[in-house]
Amino acid sequence: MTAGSSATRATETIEHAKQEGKKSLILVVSKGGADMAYPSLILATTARALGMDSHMYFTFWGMQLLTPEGRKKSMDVFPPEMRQAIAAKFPTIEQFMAQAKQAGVHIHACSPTMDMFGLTKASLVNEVDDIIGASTYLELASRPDALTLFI
Amino acid sequence: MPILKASALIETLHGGELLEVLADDPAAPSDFVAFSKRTGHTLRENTESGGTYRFVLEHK
Repeated sequence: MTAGSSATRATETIEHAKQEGKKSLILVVSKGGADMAYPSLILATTARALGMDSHMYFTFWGMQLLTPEGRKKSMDVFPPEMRQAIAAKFPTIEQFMAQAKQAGVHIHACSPTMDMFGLTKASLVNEVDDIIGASTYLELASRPDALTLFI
Repeated sequence: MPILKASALIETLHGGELLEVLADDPAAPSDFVAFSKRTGHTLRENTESGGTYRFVLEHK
């Protein structure tokens, strides 16, 4: 595909999104591995760069990304040589999460998961904005302008 | 991730000022069109030469 035709497609997609009025991105981050964390963080921070409201709702294994120990383990999904290749090009999960927070991405922790895993607010990283449940997530995701993805 | 870097830099500029971006990401041409449409910063140049993409954004 030429750069021109993909640019045209991007323009069409954006025009369509404007008609639909998609102005918020709401991600459900349900996996704790860095292979799922990187795409989530790239989407969430890019949404902010495009001027969208951006939310990440971390649930179940995704909550591991909100604990210092879980974050370290998140890179275990990659073989060592791949970890080095990623480190050469991308920020670490810790750095990326801090950048997302700095860019205005809202970081939500899942209350039922915290109960299940015996986590307390004090055991979470300080990027967490609040602890919410399914009802609040559904409230957020029910906005007519929201684009929601379960990752 | 050229868009994330460009986005952070253009916020430090003011109306009419230009930002030149050189990138090797093949997704950059369509991403910069999307970025410009969404944010209102004008994409003045969008060219490619020997695998290097060059963009000039004008702050709105």
